[in-house]
Amino acid sequence: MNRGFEELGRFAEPSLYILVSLADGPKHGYAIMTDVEAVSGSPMGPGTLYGALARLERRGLIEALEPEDRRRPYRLTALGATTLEAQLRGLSGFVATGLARVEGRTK
Amino acid sequence: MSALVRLYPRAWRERYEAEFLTLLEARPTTIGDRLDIVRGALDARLHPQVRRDEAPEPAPIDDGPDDTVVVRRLGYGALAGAAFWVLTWWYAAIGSPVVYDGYGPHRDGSGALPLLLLATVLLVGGLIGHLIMLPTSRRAARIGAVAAIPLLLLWSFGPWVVWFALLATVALVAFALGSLGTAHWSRGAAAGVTIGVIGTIGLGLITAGLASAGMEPPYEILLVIMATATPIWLAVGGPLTRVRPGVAAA
Repeated sequence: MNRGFEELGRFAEPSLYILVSLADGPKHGYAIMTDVEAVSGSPMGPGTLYGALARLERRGLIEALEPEDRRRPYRLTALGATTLEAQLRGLSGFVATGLARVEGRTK
Repeated sequence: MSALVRLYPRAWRERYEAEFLTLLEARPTTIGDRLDIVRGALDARLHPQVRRDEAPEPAPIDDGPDDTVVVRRLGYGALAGAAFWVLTWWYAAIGSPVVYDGYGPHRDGSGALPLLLLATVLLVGGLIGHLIMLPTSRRAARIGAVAAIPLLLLWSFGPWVVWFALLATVALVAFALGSLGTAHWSRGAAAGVTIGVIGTIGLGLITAGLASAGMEPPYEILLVIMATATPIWLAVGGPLTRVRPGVAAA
């Protein structure tokens, strides 16, 4: 992860999950929570979710939309999409390198 | 659960509380969730992401019934009170049974007391609605409304104590005139209250004068005298029914 995400501390990983969740369209808090749980296999607590949302919003990576029946959807900003893509590409290289080394050991 | 949310700083709550509570209502909350909320609140205090002077304000979330809904309901209640007020005095002057006792034949209007109390309570509700709407700077109007409320209620329990009614009318006029110039009040409404007060007192005095002069006005004149006060209910209730969020009543 780059320096932008490192400064998020314990919220770095939840923030990445949230960005991935919003990559296919705007979602409100509960929808993000259930989507993240489906993708990651582990639940995200409400305090963690909103701690990460506040950080992402403050950094301009996501933005709040008009509320819908007391639920406020969030969507990825252009900066958020760029940042997410950079993060995933970095992880992709990391994963590829790691897999190659593991496969080399097993051969 | 809302007690845990209060652990968050005020600026955070102003921005996220409504949607956060909606999220918590959407699913059962586990002990792990509660601990996570406490941890999140601690984090929000140690590393605030939202500050009051820079809190992002996208669009307010409808957080349930707002004050204007309550105010409009109180206004409709006051309008309904006008009907109960007329019914009260119709019953007292015309509909109640005639009894014969040491005072001679007269009508027993005690059955109208519940109606009178209901009409008064609905008017008091309207005054409370105006207290919600009145700016705090309108001291005369607020004092008038606050003073009128207990006086009206006391009078409704003992309508024969005329002083309660007279003091209440003075307080109502102070409220009506003191409210002039505010967004939710109008000259017409002020005139309605004033006409109701002056008309009722005036007709009452004229009738008393006729009686003392030996003329015997029919007992049914009571309905006319008291019904003259009906504009008070209409003037108090009407403007409240037109209150909308962010839009002042005419």
